[in-house]
Amino acid sequence: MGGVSDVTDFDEFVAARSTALLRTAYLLTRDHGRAEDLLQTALAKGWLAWSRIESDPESYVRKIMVNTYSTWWRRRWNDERPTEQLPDQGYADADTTIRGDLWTALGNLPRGQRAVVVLRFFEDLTEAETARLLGCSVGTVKSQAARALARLRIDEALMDEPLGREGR
Amino acid sequence: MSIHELQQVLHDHADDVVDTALAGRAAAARREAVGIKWRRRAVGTLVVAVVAPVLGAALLGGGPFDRTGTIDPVDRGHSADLDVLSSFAGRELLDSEVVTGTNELVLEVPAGEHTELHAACWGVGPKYTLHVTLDGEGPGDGYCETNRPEVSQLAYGLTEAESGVDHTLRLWITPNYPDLPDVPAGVFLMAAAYRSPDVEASVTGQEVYALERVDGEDYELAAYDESRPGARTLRSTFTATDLAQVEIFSNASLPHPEDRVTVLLNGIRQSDFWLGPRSFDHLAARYKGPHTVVLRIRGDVPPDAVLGVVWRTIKR
Repeated sequence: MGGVSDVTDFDEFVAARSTALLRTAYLLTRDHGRAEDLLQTALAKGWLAWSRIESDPESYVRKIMVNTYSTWWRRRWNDERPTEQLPDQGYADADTTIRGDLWTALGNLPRGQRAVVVLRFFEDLTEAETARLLGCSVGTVKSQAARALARLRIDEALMDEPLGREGR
Repeated sequence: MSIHELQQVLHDHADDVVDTALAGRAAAARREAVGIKWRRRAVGTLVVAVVAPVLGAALLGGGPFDRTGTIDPVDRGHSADLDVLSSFAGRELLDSEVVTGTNELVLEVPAGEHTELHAACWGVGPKYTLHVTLDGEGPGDGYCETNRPEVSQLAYGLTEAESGVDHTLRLWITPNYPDLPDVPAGVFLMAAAYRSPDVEASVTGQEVYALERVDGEDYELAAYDESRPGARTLRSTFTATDLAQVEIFSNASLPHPEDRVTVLLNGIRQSDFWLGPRSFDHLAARYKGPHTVVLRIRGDVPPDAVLGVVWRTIKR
């Protein structure tokens, strides 16, 4: 780690994928500041392992990000503020009100279920890919997704199109 | 409601997110990586493996992220005859419990003095995840340790108002890999409540204590600076005669959603964070001599926005 070409490759990777990774981090944390912290930490750890991961850095960094998110804690928590207090976009009509409720409900999901929702329905990963990233079985991904959708009161029968590249 | 609507909501919220700090992102990550390596050397202990499949494997364990549910310990375990640190960095022990032979510990914390809560799990290493909730919410999760930590792994400082009511601190562990027992041999769980020290200073309206323990060392409050309300920039200089740490603070009652604060230490951009009632963890000032921190608000500056810097030096 640390050669000129490594630096160049790492910088190019960050330039190309930083915003996409930040979006995932934001959906996990629902807080712009913490999302940036999460991304920065994951990239730093990715750089430490760069010589081993440069063939597929995005998968590795995304894995670090999700796992770091799941185990994140702060030494001092008394300045932490609920993310719900952050400014959010307003919703005017009935349709957007429903979406606002859904966003709120997403924030109430346990962290593991939220991670599965983000990976499956935002990242559009397959169940197998999600399982690999999370280090669990496909069955676990299925059950966690089902629990999450139930909590969000989403009817899987209303699915508009097959999900992911392997469907469900 | 349909899956399509769920996907729409996710994209509605995420697609506008752009990495506005992209220009310095890679360099900042590399600098942070140096810090990670430094901390590893400084504490001399094993840093948890970052790619261990904690989340996914923990999902196998029957809803470890469910903040409200209860688990059925295979064995209620028993109190471990172990002393808990009676004081550190100005904190005085109020109550504690250490148990072994179980996967759950609940500590009831009666209303009382200004309190800091601590939790730890050791004896089994990072094959297990420690989960901690306070009244069913946060503060968070962390890997179990192999060896007993000096104080704790997780800490939560109650505000004055929060100290005025009863609380329940709950710890439990889940295995990170299949086929591991729910209650591993040799596991210890510790919960402790400490009386917080007197507030030494208020910086941006947030409490600052005389001592903080960072990576096993106590750091004394040495100096602090605060900007006047509405100022865009705070520059704070401190001459370190030994190892020093910096804490960063900000506050604003109604920050604009785009308001960010850039942190520079000795001219090097460290990070950005969103303006608001926050404090940053410690940055290390690792050499003797003058150090300068510059905080700069980017975007609109609310009239009551304040920035703060606290300097600490290692207590010898």
